[in-house]
Amino acid sequence: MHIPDNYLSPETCLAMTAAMVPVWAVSVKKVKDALPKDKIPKMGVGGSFSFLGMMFNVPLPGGTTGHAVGGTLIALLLGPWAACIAVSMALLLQALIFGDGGILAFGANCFNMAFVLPFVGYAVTHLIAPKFGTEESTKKRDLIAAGVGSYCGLNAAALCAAIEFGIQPMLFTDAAGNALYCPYGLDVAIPAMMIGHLTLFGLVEVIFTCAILAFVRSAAPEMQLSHKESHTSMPLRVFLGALILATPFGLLATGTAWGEWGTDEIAGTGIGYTPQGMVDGFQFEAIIPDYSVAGMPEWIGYILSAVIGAACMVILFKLVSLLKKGSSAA
Amino acid sequence: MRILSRILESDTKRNDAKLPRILPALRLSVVLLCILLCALSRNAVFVVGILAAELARLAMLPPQRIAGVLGRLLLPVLFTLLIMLPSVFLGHSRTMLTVTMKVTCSVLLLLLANEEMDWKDVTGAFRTLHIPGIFTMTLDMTVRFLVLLGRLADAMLEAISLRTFNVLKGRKRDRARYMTAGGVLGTTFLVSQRMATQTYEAMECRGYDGVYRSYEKHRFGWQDAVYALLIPVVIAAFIYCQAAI
Amino acid sequence: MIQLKHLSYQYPDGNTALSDITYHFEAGKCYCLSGPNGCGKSTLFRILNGLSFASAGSYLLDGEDVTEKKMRDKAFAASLHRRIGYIMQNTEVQLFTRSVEEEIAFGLYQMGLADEEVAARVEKYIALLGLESLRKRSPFTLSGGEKKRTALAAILAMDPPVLIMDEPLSGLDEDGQQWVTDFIRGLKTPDRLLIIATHNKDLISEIADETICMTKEHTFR
Repeated sequence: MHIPDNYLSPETCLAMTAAMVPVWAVSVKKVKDALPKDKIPKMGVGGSFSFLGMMFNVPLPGGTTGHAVGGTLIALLLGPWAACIAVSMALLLQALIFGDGGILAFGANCFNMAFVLPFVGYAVTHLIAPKFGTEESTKKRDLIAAGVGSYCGLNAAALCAAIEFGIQPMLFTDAAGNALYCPYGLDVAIPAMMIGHLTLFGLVEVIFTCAILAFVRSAAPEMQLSHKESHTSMPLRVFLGALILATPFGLLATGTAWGEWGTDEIAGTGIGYTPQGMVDGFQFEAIIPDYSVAGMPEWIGYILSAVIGAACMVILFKLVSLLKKGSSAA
Repeated sequence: MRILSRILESDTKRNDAKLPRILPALRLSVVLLCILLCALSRNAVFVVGILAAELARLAMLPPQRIAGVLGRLLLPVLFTLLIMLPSVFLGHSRTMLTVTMKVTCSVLLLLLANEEMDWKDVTGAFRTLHIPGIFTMTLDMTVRFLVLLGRLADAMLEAISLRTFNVLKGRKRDRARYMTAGGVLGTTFLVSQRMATQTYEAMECRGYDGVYRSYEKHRFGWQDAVYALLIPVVIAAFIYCQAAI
Repeated sequence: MIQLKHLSYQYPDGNTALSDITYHFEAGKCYCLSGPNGCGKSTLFRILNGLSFASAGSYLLDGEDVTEKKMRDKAFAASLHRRIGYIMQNTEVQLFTRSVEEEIAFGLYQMGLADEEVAARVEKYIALLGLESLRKRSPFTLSGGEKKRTALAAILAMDPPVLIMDEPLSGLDEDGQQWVTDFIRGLKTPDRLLIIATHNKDLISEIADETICMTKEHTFR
């Protein structure tokens, strides 16, 4: 669901970023006030889960791929505001270092995956299981609620992305009537995105969310907000390590996700021309583009990218926790 | 004084460590090997791999230590970027990135090794690596005198501060400052001479015959064996990365 | 065991440190040396340890004459240092390795003992002197009492038949002083010679078999 650069007009990007600024501001404030200092590094772990989840590409018949985001998961563990920041950071890392998702489109991507997704997911989950996470609710009820919540969250985000794509040809065309940016209107974009997400990708998100939630509940309770202890336990580390090692499976799904084609690919998708905005648009050369390092087999590059991404997330949030004044557990 | 406090702090910290420790000589060897291979690597591929491993290790440290390591990493990296900047204008921006990445990797390797070993482990490693005892002794004595004479100088400066009242001005004040600085340095020097002689006599009384041996009780365990496997793995990865390009 | 015959020492500038001392120290006894500052106790100890040499008179250890010429022979010097253990007043300079373990092992290695024997003795004396929690610490980070115990462990591990202590209670608090006093009492055996310089009257009364007063004129009384 990462929107690359030049698919959205600069005006759209600006609007989406402007919409995110107050959201980020409030998230930071909420996290600073509500989250104890020693839980902040857990946001790094959550961000790592999100980052790694987004590396597992799942193929859809028809040639496109998608992936889980894990935003609802983090929202349920650490709160929706923390989830907003964690997913934003994961997306930032992906955009800057790995070239996954555009730089100008960062605001839009965050709006979809760091704001809409976790908040909708959180709200729906708590609607179904108002006593989620407490002793009064059962594990089964919690997991079902989380599954439904994450499904709704992902699809809400996909809908937003589809709308953002779809309005481009309506609003931004050149003199000849060709679209400058994303060439597919709402009538194409919405079905194309939603079909995949309502079926397969939604399922992946549900499995990802529920599996990790169950794991955390039993083996790594320190991830939860309510839990007192904060030292990262061995099961959590092992799990992260296993996820990292499993990322090359994401390579098995060949084919580019809908709406993430490169400038050279788009003409071949059926439109017949390459929108001018993409040809002349903003180009950014990432350090480790597409998670691969030149000269290495792809799967090694993938694992290294996963390690670097996960490590950076954890380091980032550990540093952030230092900024918060006040006491912390050892 | 910061160096002194770091030495003293690392001393008590080490005592509390409950983790099974890898043989310091082995750890030192692996670190030096990685630094050497990073420098010899003709492309960024090998370096990225080492960088990934080091970042993973860094991520496992507590927040304060991470901040400390990154703080100390900043200066060498910025310096390298600055020096390599002309390569961008000459059209070789990739070179700047590769060299900077190599420097980052090497410095990070050293900083992380420093976090896990203290100076005593390093000098102890020399014995296992069959480096002559004279180097070990020199290093040990240097640290010791650094601490002892540092304390002395600190005490003297404290005494001086208790006897100055900031009433002198201009040339008189400068002269007073030179006198006290000279006095502190001179006294420290003379004391250091005396301590050196006394230390030598103490060593003589315990039968020092010119050979400085270290007491190393580390038993080679399975953790050491697993860690030692890193050496062939790293070398193999290096050869593979060089041959693949 | 130790015999001094008309021992005298003069500094290069002509000042006298020791003047015509004749004494016989016997094994199995504890001698306490006391006297005003500057009476020459430290100089005497230096001579006994072979660090300085008499201007006149002789110093015999187990019947052997100890002279500057003889001390140049490495084997003789080694045997002297092995027989005499010296705990200095200022333990700061006496401890020079990087950890308490190393400190104890140092002398044992110099004695040429095998690694297993060294390890065994290190463990024994760490336990005896209560240094278990300090074994990896650097000596210069220890407190006064801990340094004293480390120095004792390091010297005693070498098992010298003669033990010379210069002001063993200096720099210690009351508990520390009591501990050292009790410990020294435990060191008295029929084949060990103890020579202790101290001003502490309690220590003298508790452990001394013989008391020697050094005068301002640098002789024994």
